[in-house]
Amino acid sequence: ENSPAPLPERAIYGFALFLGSWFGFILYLIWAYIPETWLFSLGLTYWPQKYWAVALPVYLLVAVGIGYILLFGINMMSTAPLNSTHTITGNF
Amino acid sequence: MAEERRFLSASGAPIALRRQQHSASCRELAVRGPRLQLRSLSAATSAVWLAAYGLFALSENSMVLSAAIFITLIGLIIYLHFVKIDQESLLVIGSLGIQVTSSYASGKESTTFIEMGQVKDVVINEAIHMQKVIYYLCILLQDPEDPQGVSEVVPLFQSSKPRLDCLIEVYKSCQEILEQRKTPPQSS
Repeated sequence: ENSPAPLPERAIYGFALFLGSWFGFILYLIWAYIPETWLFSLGLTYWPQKYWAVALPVYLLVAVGIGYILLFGINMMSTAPLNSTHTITGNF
Repeated sequence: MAEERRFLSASGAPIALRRQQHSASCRELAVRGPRLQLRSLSAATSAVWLAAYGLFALSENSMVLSAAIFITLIGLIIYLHFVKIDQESLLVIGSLGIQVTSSYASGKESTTFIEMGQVKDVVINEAIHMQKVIYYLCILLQDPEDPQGVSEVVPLFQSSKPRLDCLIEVYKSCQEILEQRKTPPQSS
């Protein structure tokens, strides 16, 4: 039951994710661009500081960049050293 | 009798293999790497002194220049004594053991002896090392109580890293001696 063919449930999940991501994106744009005074006049006073609208994407991109280097480093650390018995794979 | 042949290391540097047969069951194989080149020494010294002169021009503190001279001298001594290995040699004495010697550029020699009871085999293994797959010669050690398993792996010629053609020569020489211990001694 794990074939990649489209199932009715998958179509519904996909469409719900599509609508949800568009909603999230429009919400992010509203939060980032509409001035604070306008938001206050609408009654939305407890939203996070607009500083985070710039900071979170920067954190995310830096994390992705570090992730490249981290993965490379983890690979190098897990490689068996030349004097370990794990390098011997034949039968002796 | 000794014979010397030229090969290349894994990084392309020229190395020389010298084989000496001391007796029917004793062989010495020595791999000699390239000596410290004058051009790399001058390049490193000039780089350090130029950087120190640049710092001196910025900070007007003459201690930077003396510190640079000091650092260069101490760094060279440390490099020659602890890092630069000139020759690695393998002395295989059938029925006694294997002796591995590394000679540094400052004249220091560090020796390891492995007795024949602990030696299971000498093999050419291939492993991943620094984003490359290299062949290297290694001694497989066995526990005297458990002759079936490999207790430890001792890699040989770590600093000169010969290529497969040189390793095959060393391997064949070692195996000729190691085979003698399997056949029981003939009384003659």
